[in-house]
Amino acid sequence: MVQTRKKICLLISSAVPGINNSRIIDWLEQMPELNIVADIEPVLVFNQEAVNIGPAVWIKLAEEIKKRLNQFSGFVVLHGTDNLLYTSSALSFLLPNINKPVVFTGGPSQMGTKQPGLKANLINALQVASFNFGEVCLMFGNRLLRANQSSQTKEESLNIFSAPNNATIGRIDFSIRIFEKLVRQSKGPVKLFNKLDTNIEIIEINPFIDFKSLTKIVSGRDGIIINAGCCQNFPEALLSLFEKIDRDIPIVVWSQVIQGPVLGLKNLILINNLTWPAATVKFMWVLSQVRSVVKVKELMSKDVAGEIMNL
Amino acid sequence: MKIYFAADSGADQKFQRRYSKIIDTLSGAGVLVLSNLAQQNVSGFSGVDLERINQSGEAMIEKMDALIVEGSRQLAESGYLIAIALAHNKPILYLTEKGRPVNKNITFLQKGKGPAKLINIQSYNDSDLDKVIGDFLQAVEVGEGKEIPDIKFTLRITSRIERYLQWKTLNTKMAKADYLRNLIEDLINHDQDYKRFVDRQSRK
Repeated sequence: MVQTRKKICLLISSAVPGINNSRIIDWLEQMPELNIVADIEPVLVFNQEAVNIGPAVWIKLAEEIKKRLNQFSGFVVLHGTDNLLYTSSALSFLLPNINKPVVFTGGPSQMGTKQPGLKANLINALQVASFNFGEVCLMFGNRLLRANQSSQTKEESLNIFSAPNNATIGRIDFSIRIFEKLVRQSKGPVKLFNKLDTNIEIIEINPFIDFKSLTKIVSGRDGIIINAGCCQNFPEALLSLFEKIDRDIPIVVWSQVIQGPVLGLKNLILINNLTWPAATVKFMWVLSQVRSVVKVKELMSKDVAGEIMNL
Repeated sequence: MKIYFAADSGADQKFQRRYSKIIDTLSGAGVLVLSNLAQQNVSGFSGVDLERINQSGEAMIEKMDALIVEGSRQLAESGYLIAIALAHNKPILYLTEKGRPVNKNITFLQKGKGPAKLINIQSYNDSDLDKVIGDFLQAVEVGEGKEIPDIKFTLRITSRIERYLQWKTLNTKMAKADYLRNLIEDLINHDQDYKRFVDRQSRK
């Protein structure tokens, strides 16, 4: 992977802590060192806090990237840490065969912009975006991670996110080392998917669920996804709810604990090899293309963008 | 003092000799040199230190006192290394052989408020290379913030020394580390051999 000076598109997808977005270009100009890494062209996509980002912004981001694919060597997406795993996972499905790096970065929210966290992450991300590979990834601290296998860490570290070893696709010591055997390479033309089916119900199992109101809520949904967390069994009320749901409506059960087949219902799909953000956005992506339970099951278990975890 | 030295590893013999001279000069001045030219560029760190740095998310450049780049020959990573060193407020010496043009993007940095303080672009020839490096080391030693003791050092002592330090600091109301630092400062200030050595380095 020989590098020369590259042209990188910097997509600003959320407010940067401490920076007024109308002055974001001025802020970038105050960091002349960014320009010695690459030629940067900033594009403002969304100017609210990251917590407000949802499917509409995900699709807009994907469209902005696709539109500029031939003009840039790579893309850096500046994004607050809220919702970052959803946005980055969504991008990996909306552009599943991307042939350029799309690198999400930002600063730890507790850090001011004057601290090196944000600037260092940005410099690292720009350098990563100059390499030749096709992945949606996260650059925080000293690790480069595949976005759709990443989780937020609870440790006090600049590595705000972590991923399994085979999804840690690069590391920084003095320079950036990309693990060529682990990064994905694009096969065939890049396709943009600009639809996500948001008409799904997301249920998290906890002792306080009001199953009576849930019965009304789930009717009319195209799909249901259940976060079973660490539960090994389903509450009786949920089992009755399953009975009432149309057998043609796919129900995804996301669990890190349940391993075997779940009940005997043909519309129940067990997912235990995806992160929760990846499972949710993948389900929306799948439903925007197919509706039959069999097809949904097939696509949900197919590796689309490197999201399947082989732990 | 730890310095990271970066240069084009594919350069011809003439430059390889210069790189060796730079490393020798730095090592001779008591600097621990880490470099992209060495096979193992993290040799100055223990396995435990490396794991701790890896877990904390810090960059290795944070652990350096300065960066030296030999930029006469194009080095793909130099822009990145300079940028990341600037982000961590590390002083940088950018060396080019006399007569060679300096990359415009790097000279442009000298116009920026923050970077200008940290980046030092110097052209050199074989006769003044030692002096250029010596001057830079002096500047790093006395530079902004360098008087803050921020380098960790593990020192194993005997129980007799420990007892003495305990007694000494109890009576002086001073932290043990401060007491030892002051003793070393005194040693430096009164060491005529070391003074001559430093003078020689800066005259070269």
